[in-house]
Amino acid sequence: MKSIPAKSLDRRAFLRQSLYSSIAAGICSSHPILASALECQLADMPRTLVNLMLQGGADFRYLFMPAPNHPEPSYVPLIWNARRSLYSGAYQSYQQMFDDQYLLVADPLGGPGFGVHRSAGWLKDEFEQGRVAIISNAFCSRNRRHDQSILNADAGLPELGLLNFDRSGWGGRLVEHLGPDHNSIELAKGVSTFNKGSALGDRLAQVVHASDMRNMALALPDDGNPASNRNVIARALQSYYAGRGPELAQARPAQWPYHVFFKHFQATSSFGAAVEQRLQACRLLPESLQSLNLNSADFAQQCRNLFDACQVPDVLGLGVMSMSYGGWDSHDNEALEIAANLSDLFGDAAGFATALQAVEELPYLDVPAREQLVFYVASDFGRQIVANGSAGTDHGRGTYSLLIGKAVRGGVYGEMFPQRESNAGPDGLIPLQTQGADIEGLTSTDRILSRAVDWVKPQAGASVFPDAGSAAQDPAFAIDQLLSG
Amino acid sequence: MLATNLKSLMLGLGAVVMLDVAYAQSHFDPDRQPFPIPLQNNQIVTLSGLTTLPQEQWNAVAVRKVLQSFAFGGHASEQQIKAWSEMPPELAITQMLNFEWLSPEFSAPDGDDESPEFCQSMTELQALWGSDDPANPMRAAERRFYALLGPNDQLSPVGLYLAWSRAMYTRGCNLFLHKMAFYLTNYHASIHIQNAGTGLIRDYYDDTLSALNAGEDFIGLMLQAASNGAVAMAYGHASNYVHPITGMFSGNDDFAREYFQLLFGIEGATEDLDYHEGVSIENNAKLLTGMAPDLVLNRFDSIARFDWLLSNIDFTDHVDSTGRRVRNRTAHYDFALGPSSCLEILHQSICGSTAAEKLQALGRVAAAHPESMAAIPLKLVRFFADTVITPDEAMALQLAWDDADFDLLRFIRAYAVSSQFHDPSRWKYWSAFERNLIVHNATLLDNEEAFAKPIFTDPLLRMSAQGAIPFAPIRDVFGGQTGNDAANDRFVFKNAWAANVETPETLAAVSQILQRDGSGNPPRWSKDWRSVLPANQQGEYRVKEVAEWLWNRLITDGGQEFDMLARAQVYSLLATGFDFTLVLEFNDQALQGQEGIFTSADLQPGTIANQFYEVLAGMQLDLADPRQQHQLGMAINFISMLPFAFASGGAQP
Repeated sequence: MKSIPAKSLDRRAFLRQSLYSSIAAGICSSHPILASALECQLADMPRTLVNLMLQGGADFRYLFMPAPNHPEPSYVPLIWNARRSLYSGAYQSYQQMFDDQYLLVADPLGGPGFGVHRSAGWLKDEFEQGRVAIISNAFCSRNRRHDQSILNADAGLPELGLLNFDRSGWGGRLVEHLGPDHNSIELAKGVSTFNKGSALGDRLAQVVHASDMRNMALALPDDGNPASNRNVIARALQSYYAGRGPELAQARPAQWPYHVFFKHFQATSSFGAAVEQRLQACRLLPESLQSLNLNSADFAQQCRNLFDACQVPDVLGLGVMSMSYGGWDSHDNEALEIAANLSDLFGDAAGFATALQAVEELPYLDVPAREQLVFYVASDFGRQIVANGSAGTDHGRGTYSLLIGKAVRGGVYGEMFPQRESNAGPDGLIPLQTQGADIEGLTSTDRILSRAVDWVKPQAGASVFPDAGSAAQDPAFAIDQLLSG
Repeated sequence: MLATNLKSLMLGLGAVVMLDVAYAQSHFDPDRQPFPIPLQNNQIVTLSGLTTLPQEQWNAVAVRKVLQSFAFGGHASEQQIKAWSEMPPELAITQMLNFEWLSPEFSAPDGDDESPEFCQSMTELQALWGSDDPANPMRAAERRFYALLGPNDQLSPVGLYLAWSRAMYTRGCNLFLHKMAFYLTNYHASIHIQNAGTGLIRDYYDDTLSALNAGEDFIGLMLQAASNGAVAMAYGHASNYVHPITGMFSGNDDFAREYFQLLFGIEGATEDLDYHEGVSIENNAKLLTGMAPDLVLNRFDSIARFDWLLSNIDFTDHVDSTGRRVRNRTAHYDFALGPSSCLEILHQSICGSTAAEKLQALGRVAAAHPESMAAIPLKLVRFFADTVITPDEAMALQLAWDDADFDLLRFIRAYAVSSQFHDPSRWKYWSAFERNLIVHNATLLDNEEAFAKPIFTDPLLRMSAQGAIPFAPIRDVFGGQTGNDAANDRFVFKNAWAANVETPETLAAVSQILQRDGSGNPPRWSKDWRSVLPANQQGEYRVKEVAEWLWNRLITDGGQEFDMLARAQVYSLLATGFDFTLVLEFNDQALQGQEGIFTSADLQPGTIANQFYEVLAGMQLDLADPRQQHQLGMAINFISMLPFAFASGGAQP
């Protein structure tokens, strides 16, 4: 085999660049914004809802506890007795525990004061600035099983009883409603049902998997020796996928299982490269995010992805994003497990504090990016209100929902620590003295989400959550109050 | 964090890879014969609901499908595959799929490598591969990575990951046995190494291997899992107890719930919810009392007490070897009643003196529960073979499971030779575990090659970059990465692509210095595809024939998707070591395709590109030339990154 002449090398380099441009041009025909991907330009951040899934069934009752002077006199002694084993045995009283573990806050809506766990200092600050809505007594499912409940939460259908993951999620339905230029952006490692769209066999059509915003591009032929093994394999694969993909897209039925890999090629070879190039032209990751060191390295990366996503909202087609944090199934040693989790998420100078501070500093045209973000905090289910014998809590059903953002009307919605839990029920049992008792869900989460989605785009809620209008709703508050605008 | 540590480990090795292309001696033995095949009528496997594939459809492609789906591709020789394809399928399958420690037809021990003798235990494999035992085939500089103890004198999880991955491509290890154990411990009754610890989870895996080899049926396997100390520690019910005097239960209901859902597929959908939650689950929590594992003083010579735990629980009151008083009998529910201690669970009275006895009784009830009978066959088939099961297929599988009477091996065998499994429309996405191990097993020719190659060519590095680490399931007790997870994850695709592009030598290297004991002149391993690749009748290796042989070795579609565009690249890589675009450009011909992208039309007869296509197809390989040996590896890099290497099945009519 004779060596490759020099003139051919130059021509190869030209052809390579032409190939890349043609792929980008092909994509640009349906995504005009990509034509400008190779330079940094300001783009306004659209209103974007970020779903944060706490996987495992988070015990929000650990995050929030009643103030020692809670107006219902019997409640505090009962909850202390019910949950004392979750805390150090050194605490002699509820007051002592509360002073050590919790930060007292006042409810701007006039409800009783309560405590936010010390590990969530940032969340406490946000609440005091009126940016956190705590919706008490919510439910996203009617069962206590992880898989079914997470599916219910991701689908936005609390009454769903069928365990079928091949279905749309509410994030996918929202972006479909927003239009073909919008995508559900997954910032975590795995694409979940939340992101999936309605089209059978093509549920990822409007999903961008952005688990590493700065490393999204495919390894295509580079400017090195075209005869290197690396470039030979890269070119062979690129030629095959780019040539055969369009043929098979036409020739094979929509449900053909191999379409997805050709779509991966298309997305990563052009779109991924465009995102990377735009980010390189724009801001580097701030030092605070580069050095962000959390218990969960995975969540730290999601925070970096969040910041980067806010730099390229037009390229990504923002409107919905997804984040997740696992490890909330606290059957034993709950304090040890979830305090670390809470700290990562909501602690001072931790995940959200750092990421959103950096987002706050992004330049903008009309509206700061920070003001265009609302976070919805979800979980599979809540946990039982009485601790088990392993210093933990077991699966419950009712939970709390959180909305966080500048557009949120902060405060506590619904009765945060329901009196019924300290009173005997029809069966003569007091829930706070009964193993197995859980939070009674009064507000279906699709009601909450429907309102949040209306904030993203007016009247989108009825389309994304068609059953929300007839879903359960705590009469104690009006859903419309949750957000402004 | 786990994946990052693995990558750092690999990069920090400092091993120097000598990729010289020395001349390789042929060692193809034309006199090799298939193994004798005893036919045993009492092993015929048929079950209600499943129709055995007709003999005329049982061919080499069908055999390879079984090997890929159930055994990471296996190590059977071409002659053995041919021999199986000529047997009645219901007899062939008994040789192909069994739980014997050694299955010579399936994976013959290789030369004098003693590794297969230790394949019945990850502990023993690690002990061998991490030692200075003269029988250790491992490269001298890499043995420490497989050692039981890490540098901190505690059990090393990385050693376990590496050992498991290596066992999955070591000839002599029964890969079907191991894949089933992997399914049971990493998917079905899954626990995470972070919760159980390295020692216990390895014990759990080894215990499962033993149970399979001992012929335990599904109920026995679930009893093994439910009564295992590793599971008790991971879920936390090792600390559960009932106060011997007050009778108060102290503990959690985590495994009490997941026992039904995960081990037996009972979600409570057919039960009254209040009964299931308030009686079955709560009483099961009381059943799971008195299950504290023992400690064995200085077990494994580890300085960490957690490493001393034993998976085999002693359900009596006793003192363990560390002097610790273990009260498993008196901590158990109503222990004073002995065998008459009973709890109502699933509408049955479940009795026994200990948790183990009650679990034995409960397992029979749970396995026979209608929800379990419906769910278990589908769980098995989804993991091994079918991503989308239709209602009709589900019904057939449930009939078969019923007929199998909890005989797991019989069910799997019957399914593996069924028309349902071999239906061309059936398809399954491979997890990163499966895809990488299938490719690795198809590429490595013998154990000498397996042990000659440096540690950073181990598929573990690729698997972990693609989100799949053994014993660290991404969904914890809900199991590891599925094929669906891998297929729908663009970063898995991107990382797989990067692996083949950036490190093609992992699959293409043909020579390696093999330093085993640090003394004398190290031998050199060289690859020779002629040991497995058949020449044509003229004794030639024609590119087209070699291409088709390679395709069939990696992709079990009978060549259906081996179209002209794929062939053009494979022919070019085999014939020249370069891609089709570069070859055309080098020959200074006008490209038929636009900027290196060809369509099928560009390759049709009458085009210049087609002329090159045909010339390349007809070229003859000189496999005495190591460079041309290398070109097969380049072709494998290409084929193994095509969509059809990411799934099985889904053929078009």
